[in-house]
Amino acid sequence: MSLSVSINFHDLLPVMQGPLDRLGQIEWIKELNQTTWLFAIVETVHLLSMVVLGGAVLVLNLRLLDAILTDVPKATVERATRPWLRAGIIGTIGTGIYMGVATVVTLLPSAAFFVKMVALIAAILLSTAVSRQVRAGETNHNGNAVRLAVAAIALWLVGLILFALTTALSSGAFLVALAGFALFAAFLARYRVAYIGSLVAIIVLTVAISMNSEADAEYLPGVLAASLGLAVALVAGVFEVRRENGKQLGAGQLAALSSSLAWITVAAAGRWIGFS
Amino acid sequence: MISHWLGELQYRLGATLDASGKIIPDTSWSAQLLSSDRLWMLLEGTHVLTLMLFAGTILFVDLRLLGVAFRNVPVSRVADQVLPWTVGGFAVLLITGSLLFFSNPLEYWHNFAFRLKLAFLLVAAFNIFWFHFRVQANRPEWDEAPLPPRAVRASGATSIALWFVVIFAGRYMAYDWTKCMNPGAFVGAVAQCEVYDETLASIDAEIAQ
Repeated sequence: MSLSVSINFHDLLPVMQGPLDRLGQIEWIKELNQTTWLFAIVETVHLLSMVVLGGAVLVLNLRLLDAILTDVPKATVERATRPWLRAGIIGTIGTGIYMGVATVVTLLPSAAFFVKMVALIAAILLSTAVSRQVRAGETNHNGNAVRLAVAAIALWLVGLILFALTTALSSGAFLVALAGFALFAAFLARYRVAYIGSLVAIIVLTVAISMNSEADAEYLPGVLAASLGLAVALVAGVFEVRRENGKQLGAGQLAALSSSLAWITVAAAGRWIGFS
Repeated sequence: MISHWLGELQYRLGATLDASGKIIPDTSWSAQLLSSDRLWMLLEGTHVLTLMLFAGTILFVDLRLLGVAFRNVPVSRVADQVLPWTVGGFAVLLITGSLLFFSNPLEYWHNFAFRLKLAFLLVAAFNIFWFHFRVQANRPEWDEAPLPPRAVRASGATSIALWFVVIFAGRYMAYDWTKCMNPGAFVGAVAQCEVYDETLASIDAEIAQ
């Protein structure tokens, strides 16, 4: 039995393919695609914008997870990272549109591109929700921000599940799982050494099993790594919750964790467009 | 010398030999890593995505040194709490980067952009040492200043510029014109493409046809 799926814009909205194919035939767009040096520069600016965006997202979310700058008010960190977050989003989307127009014919049938678009919408909504939560302050309950975060997390999980179930992309989803594991370790800092040790053991085990598994058991390393990772995270979480004054993963932290992972999903799906 | 050694590493290490002692193609550890779909993708994907952690966090430390972000937070507080994440990111980049290099060492060594990246990595390392031992020596005097002195700002700006060039060069390694495939005169000279051809010819004689 195969669990594999492959959802893409070409199958979902076949009506888009014709007009976009014609768009790709327009002379100046063809020229954009064929001007190697220009495409290379845009691609690099896309990567640099991703770095700016990633820095802003991670610095804010690590602060919200109490992993860095713990004595700096959350609102100060949000204010300091906000312009860079916006610049990163504008830079990645602007250059992304250029690259998308130049390669539209190959993007529509790509399952990775579909995952990237779903995760991108979720990530933007999550970042908005996180910023609103921080600006509203911890004491003021911001129902709209919480509802927005819940909807965005649901959308991101849809993207992540599609990412994991598409055969050619599943290793990208594994990367998101590893990042989640590392961020969880950042939140429960007390167990950092144990987490890093477990992470290394899981990676070594997964690689060893990958190299020796049969072709029809491709899912095995991923399932094993995810199960072990989840087990280690749960054990640490249970111990932590049972401690007096132990950290609780509140709505704000959950949104921060999900926001980072949603952006990592966007970046990973983007990279896997090239691989697939 | 280095080229020949890397050629041996790429084609001979871990390779199966036939009865006459010749290398059976695509059996070396480098070849196996390069042709392993998911493992190579994971390494490359991790390398690119970790840039967000490494360069993204160092960017905010440099922005503080420039007096652009976190102006009211002491430099020491930003540096001491954010830089461990930068170092962690660099460790992941170093491990994944070394393994990616191992998958195709000879071609990377003779890649114009790879040499540029190595050179700027060295300059960036020098900038870190310069900042740590010279610029930062009197940090208590400007630690809380919203706008640090000119030398500190210069070091922050240099750091941002250097890391962006390293990323640029890393991305350009994938383009054919930076490789020894019909290179221009300058690219060919910097990448030592003649040496590359000699090494390939000598390795070719050791491979079973």
